[in-house]
Amino acid sequence: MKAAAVTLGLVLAAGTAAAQRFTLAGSLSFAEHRVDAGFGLERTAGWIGGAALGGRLGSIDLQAHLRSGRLLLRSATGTDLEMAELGLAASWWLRPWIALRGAALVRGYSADVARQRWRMAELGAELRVPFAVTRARGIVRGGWRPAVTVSGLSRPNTAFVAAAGTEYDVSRFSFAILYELERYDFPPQAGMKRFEQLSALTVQGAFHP
Amino acid sequence: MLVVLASVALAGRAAAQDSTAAVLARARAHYDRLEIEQALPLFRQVTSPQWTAPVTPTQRAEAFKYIGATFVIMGQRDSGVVYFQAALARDPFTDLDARTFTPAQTAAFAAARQTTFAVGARPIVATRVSLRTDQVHFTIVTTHSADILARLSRADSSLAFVILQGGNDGVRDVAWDGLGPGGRIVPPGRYALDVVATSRLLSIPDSVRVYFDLRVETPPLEDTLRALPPDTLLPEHRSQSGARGDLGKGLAIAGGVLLLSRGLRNDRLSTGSDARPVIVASAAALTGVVAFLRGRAHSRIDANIAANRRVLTTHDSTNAAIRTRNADRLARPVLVIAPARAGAP
Repeated sequence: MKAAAVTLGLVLAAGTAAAQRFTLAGSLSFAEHRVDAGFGLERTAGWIGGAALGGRLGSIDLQAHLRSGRLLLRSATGTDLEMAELGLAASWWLRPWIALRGAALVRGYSADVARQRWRMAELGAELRVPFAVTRARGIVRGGWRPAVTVSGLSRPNTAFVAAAGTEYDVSRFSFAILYELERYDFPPQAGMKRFEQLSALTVQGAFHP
Repeated sequence: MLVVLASVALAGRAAAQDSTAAVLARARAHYDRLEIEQALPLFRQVTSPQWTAPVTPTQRAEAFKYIGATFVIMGQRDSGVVYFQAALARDPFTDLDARTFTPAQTAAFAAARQTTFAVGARPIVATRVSLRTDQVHFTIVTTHSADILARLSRADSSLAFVILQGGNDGVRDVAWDGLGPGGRIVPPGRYALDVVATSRLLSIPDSVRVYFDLRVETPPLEDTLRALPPDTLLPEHRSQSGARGDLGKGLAIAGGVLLLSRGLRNDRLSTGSDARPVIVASAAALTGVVAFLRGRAHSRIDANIAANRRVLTTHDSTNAAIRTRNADRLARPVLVIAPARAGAP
């Protein structure tokens, strides 16, 4: 898994370097992380900032992103979390409005007492629905995460991500507002089921030089 | 004189098999070497009733001319004038070149012209005349000063009109613009050029008629451009279906956000309300509404309208130019003139 991620990362990095058109993006998300491991709901929420570098290679979009933020406890039990994520993604645009998407992500949750690392591979698709009159388009994205490893936990039975929203072009800039939802259902471990969910409202701005 | 008659008898037998042109050429050669005793019988042979080879009026006139010239050299001026008159009567275009004939000969010939009256017209030569730049030319002649009337008439019709009327002396070029009465281009058909002349010196009339066939050939016309097919022009208005579609897209995205937030979440983890998907859904719905309203308010596509006007203007001006050129061609056709093939009607 690690080797695959490294290989994919090298490929994406080389591809981005050779890309014909670059995109620099920044994002700000208000994220909420919910976990129920059988001891009640733990809810943390907070702002997550991110940056991304993308490029177009033919009909393939390549992107590397990094995001990080602090999620504060909003429930009776649990602890504050530091979240950091590195992701590499590639989208193959079959048509101007539909792409197949693959991604590899490494995410870490850090608390005062423990640290948890997630490694994920994602396969999915993205739709972009252009509006006829305005320079806007709707975005719908969905992905299945067939390979998820979490330190200290078994692999989840269910792991997927979905997002939807709108994106607007203004000159060389584009702005998007998206709602994203990640859901993970883990198999019972010692008779206890674990469910996790990460949702976020993300506002993203991108510059296309 | 006996010598001359004997020579004629001998030459007649010797040249019986020769053509008129060959005999005339031989006779001229003798004449040019001043061998008039040899030349004269040959010229007389051509004018003789016993000469069986075909002789054109021009050849006969040439023979008479040289006989007349020979008699003037021989000092028999009156005989020379008579033969010159005979030449002019057969071909009024007969003339003496002052560089090759003596002053006495040209003087005798001038006297013959004054005492003989004939009018002539050169045979029509096949030609094509573009009425845009040229005219049809006829060449006529009177042996001396005369009043003439040149008239064209179309066979088998009452169409007839005068193209020249007035005085004339000698050879004259008569130009015709191809137009008939009313300034219209004459119809095709067989035409006759009649030249009627009356001598101002002798008060005797003469006339000549030549026939020719006339064909009106209109240059090929250009086709005008076809009407522009509807799909050639750019759409000038955005379709209202596009605006309605945008509204639908916005609402669909909004619904998708809400469906995603409620339908895909884990219910065991979801407590309380969440404003975030509502915010994103509202943005999507608002985008659709704005797009719908803008689409209705700004349906005109000014750039396409301007582009279409340019295309239509170019198309129309091109067609107008083609129509002008075609009208010009129709107004100025080419006349194809040819000598009448069969006998005159």
